[in-house]
Amino acid sequence: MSQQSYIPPSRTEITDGIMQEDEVDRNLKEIGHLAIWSVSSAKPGCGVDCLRDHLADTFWQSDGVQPHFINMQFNKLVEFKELRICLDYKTDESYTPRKFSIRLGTGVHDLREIRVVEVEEPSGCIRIPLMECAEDINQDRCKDFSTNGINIRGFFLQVAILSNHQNGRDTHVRGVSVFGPRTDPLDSLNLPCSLLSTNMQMYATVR
Amino acid sequence: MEIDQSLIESQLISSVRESIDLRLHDNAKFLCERLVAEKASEVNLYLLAVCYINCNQAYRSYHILKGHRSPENRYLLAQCCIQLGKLSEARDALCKSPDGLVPCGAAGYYLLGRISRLTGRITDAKEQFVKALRLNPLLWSAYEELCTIGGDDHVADVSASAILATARAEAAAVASMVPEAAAVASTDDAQEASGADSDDMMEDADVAYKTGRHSLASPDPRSPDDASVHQDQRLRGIAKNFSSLSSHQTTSEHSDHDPGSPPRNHILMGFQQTTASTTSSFLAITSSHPTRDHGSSSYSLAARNHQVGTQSSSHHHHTNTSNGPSSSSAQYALGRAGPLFSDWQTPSTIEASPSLIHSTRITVPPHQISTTAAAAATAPCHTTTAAPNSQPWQTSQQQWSSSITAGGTVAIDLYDTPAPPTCLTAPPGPPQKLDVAASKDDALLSSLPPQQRRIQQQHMRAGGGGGGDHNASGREGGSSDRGRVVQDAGGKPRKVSNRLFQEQQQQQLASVVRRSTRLAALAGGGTAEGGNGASSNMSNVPPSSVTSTPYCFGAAPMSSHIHCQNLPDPDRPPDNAPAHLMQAYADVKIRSAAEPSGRPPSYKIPRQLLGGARIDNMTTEAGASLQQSAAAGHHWVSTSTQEAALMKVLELMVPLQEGYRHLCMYRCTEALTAFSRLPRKHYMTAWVQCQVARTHFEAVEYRSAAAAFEAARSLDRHRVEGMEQYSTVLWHLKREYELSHLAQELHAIDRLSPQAWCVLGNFCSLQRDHASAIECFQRALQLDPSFTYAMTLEGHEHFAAEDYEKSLSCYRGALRLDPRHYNAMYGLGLISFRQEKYDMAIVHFKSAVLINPGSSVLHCYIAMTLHRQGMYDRALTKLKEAVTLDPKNPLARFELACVLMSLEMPREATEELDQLIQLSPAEPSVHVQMGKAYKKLGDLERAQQQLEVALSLTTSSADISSIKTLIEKLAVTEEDSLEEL
Repeated sequence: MSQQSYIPPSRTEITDGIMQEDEVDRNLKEIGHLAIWSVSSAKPGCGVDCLRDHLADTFWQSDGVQPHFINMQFNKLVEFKELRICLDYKTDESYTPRKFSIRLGTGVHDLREIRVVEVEEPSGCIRIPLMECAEDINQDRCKDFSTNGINIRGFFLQVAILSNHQNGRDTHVRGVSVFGPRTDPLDSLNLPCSLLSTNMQMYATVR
Repeated sequence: MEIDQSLIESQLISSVRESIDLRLHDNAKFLCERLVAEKASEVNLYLLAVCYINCNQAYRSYHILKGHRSPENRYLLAQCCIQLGKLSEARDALCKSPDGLVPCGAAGYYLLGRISRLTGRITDAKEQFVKALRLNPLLWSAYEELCTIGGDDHVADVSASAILATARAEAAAVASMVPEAAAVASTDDAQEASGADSDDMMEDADVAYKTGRHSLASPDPRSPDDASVHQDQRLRGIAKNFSSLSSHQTTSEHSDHDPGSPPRNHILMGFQQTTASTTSSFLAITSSHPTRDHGSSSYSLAARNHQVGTQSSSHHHHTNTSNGPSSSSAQYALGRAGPLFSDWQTPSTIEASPSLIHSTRITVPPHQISTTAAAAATAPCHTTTAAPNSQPWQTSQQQWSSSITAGGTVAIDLYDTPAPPTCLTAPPGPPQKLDVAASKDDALLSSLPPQQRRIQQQHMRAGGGGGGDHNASGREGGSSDRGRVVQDAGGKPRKVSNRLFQEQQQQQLASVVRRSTRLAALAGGGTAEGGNGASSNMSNVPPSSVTSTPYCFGAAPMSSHIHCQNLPDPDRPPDNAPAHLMQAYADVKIRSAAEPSGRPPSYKIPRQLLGGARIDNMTTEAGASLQQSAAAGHHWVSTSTQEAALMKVLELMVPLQEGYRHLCMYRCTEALTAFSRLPRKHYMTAWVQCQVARTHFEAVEYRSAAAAFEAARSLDRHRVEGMEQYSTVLWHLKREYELSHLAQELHAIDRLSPQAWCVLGNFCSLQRDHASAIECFQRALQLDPSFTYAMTLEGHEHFAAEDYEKSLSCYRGALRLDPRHYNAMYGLGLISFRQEKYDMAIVHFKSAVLINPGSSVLHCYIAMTLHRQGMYDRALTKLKEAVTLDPKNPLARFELACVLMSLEMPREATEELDQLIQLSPAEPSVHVQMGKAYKKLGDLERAQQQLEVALSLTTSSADISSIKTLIEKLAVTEEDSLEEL
């Protein structure tokens, strides 16, 4: 995998203390609740729960040496599509991560780096696609992974915060969420294409 | 200061009641607390509990009412318990009582049914609802729940249509005799008005009695379908019994009379009495002894006789049953003894019967008094000269005949319906007269319902709350079934009589008797329960014959007004004409019962419906309630008009009940026809429109469903019930704007209704915001934990979010709430299908189809599962079934084409797909499938054409790429691709 840093394309602003996420992507579903979350270190009162409370004014604060880790252990093989990390440079300043690496594996022992992300004074949720380029396609072509990317699978996902802005040591992360692909409930029907007409769809389900 | 105390109390009570009426609940609560502080009697505490419930403080009521014994308090306690979710306590409150009675009759049973349903005892719930409906056919909630839990076969017995069907059958039977009746009337008119024709009548009666005996003598169990064959025999059996009786009677009491018609007539009365009494005891027995070793034969016999016995049976039934279990067992033995029973009963009943029938005349409603008055005027000499006890038959007979003529004239004035001329010219003959008698007699039977109801209550009492035994026994075996038919038929004439009134003069005559007897029976049977039943009748019994009715004077406060009614002329000679009509009535009865068309309908109109009086079981506890006598008195006000109104209401109920029933069984076309039979003003109501919409919804006609729902909403903008289904319809139709609007409106109307949240959840689901949708459905469930559909919808959302565990638990929860919720069953199947557990999926889909056999979608799913399992032939038949069920189902046709492809029949597949393209054009999947089929046929050009069409139609990138690969691989044959692998 290339070690080139990934610059996230879109950001979401934090307003009124609530993370203003983009409109819910119809092809994504949150799978964070399936994982067991852990962090390498935490200050009392700024624990791992602050990562998952969907509030922008609470944050996880590390309490140790870099790199800091956020671990997600899943109890089954899951497919990942996107990771969102919420940061706010305006309030956190030197606590704001600048460069972090995303690693995937079946456990802590066999992690491999998927992506290294560098952000500049972020404010809001950073969307990081967790996809790999299909092997036969040129790496340059799959910058945005939207068309040619394939989803990655694994049991263990790790976010390692490598450095902060202004060389800060401890870090503040205000929220993390993981998304997997959403499959159409009608996929199990093994239709060659997705149904287009309402007429067909009406008969495809009982509700 | 006793007086002051009670004054304070009564003042407080009246203030509390006033406050409650004015819906000033806080005020009522405060005052009632003062009242209880004055005196904490059960009555006052009941009032306080009512106040608390009105203030939404059921928990307080619960603690107040705990341990109370009066039926009202127990009923209220049960309601509180249900509200608080203490179901077992609610059951105890209703069932565990010193007297073993369920309080508040129909309502009590309804609550029991609800408890059973909530605790998952569906069979028990059905029984309870049936009991409730039996007591009160207008208890719609019970009907609705019974339908919902799938009591389709139970419902047939208790529906309004069952009541009316027999009524109509009877009316038809009577109407067919109208010509003869008219003919007889003409002969009657030709003869002397003052009873010259009495002999004639007697002859008829005699003929009627002589006609049949076998059934009584040889009570063999027969299946209902041969009933018509045996009706004559049955009649004959009655006659035989009569003849055996007659000897007794003539020798014992009326030996001093000439052996002509009068004694015969009298004997008839006696016979009728005995049969009636024995049969009623039979009924009681069979009900309390569900083990029907003897019942199969004797029960039907008893029921048949019971019907013959008409209102006299009410009388005797009471006397018998009031004895308690011991007497009933004695009678049981008697019943088994067979014909002997007639001897046993004869002496006691002989005087009672004339007086009984006499009393029936007195209770004639005001508008009929003219007839009776005329009758009295034409035959005053008879009434006065005849000694009540020595010659009752003669005087009454004469009076009867006179009333016929008088009634003929008077009634014509009242009811402007002249007899057809053909009838008048028809030659009179004995058989015709018999029919006349029959037509008159069915009126007498109209007095049955209250008794039957009481009998039922008696069962409940005797059987320890097992009132269902009666039904159960009635359903088993052919003969008992027949017995039931007859017994049930007894309930109908009440309705018929009304109709008859408007038909012919003869019919009017008949109905004069009919109605009067009916009313008398109401007096005897309806108002007074238990041992008091006969007291109204007995009040007319001449002093000498009082001894024959030992139980009838069992003191009951509420029967006093009946006494008053009957007392004014206690010496009036009994009119025994109805007695001989009774036999002929049996004929009619049997005939109508023998009609194979009707299912055994088993209901009668309960008295409280007519009177609006306090409910049956309350009254059974004699003297328990002070309101009883007042209520019973009220009951007598214009009973006939109320009855007519009730008839109308029942008629209105028929399409509603039918429609709802079919809807619950998912027979959509039947449901729609039933609803369409409703009068327009009822059809155009929000409820009906919602049900119509639901019917369309179940039939996957979402557009019509949406239209009907829209109609319902335009009729009642603020209707919340059923809107969750509307939202699902809109969800299916993908009408986001309407759905959003609906959600907005419902939230504005009632934010605390589960429906509003369901609609919002559906909207979120349509937006693919499944997390929010789940939240919405959970809120709906918080507002109403028993809202089944919200649970299913939540399951669907979890499924869409691929959280199968949660989805499963939701579906299971929904099925726990409602085992007939096929949507949840489908959900379970879908999860298994998704997880490729096809065996499980088939099981779930099949059980869903069992509930909703008309769903082509479910059939289609079964077929798809079979297809996956490789059972192509079975899949094919299933799919053809689905297509026949709903020819518009495109997915079934598509799947059919897929199966045909699997069966290597691409030619047929293309034909099927061609049809499908007509049905739903612009569907890329169809064209892709078509392309595959052409490829298989070797027609690559057309295959490419089809795939290109599909490519032009599809929008999603994944589909585009998959179609592109298909096109690329067109040239590659299957063998090649296999080799590649």
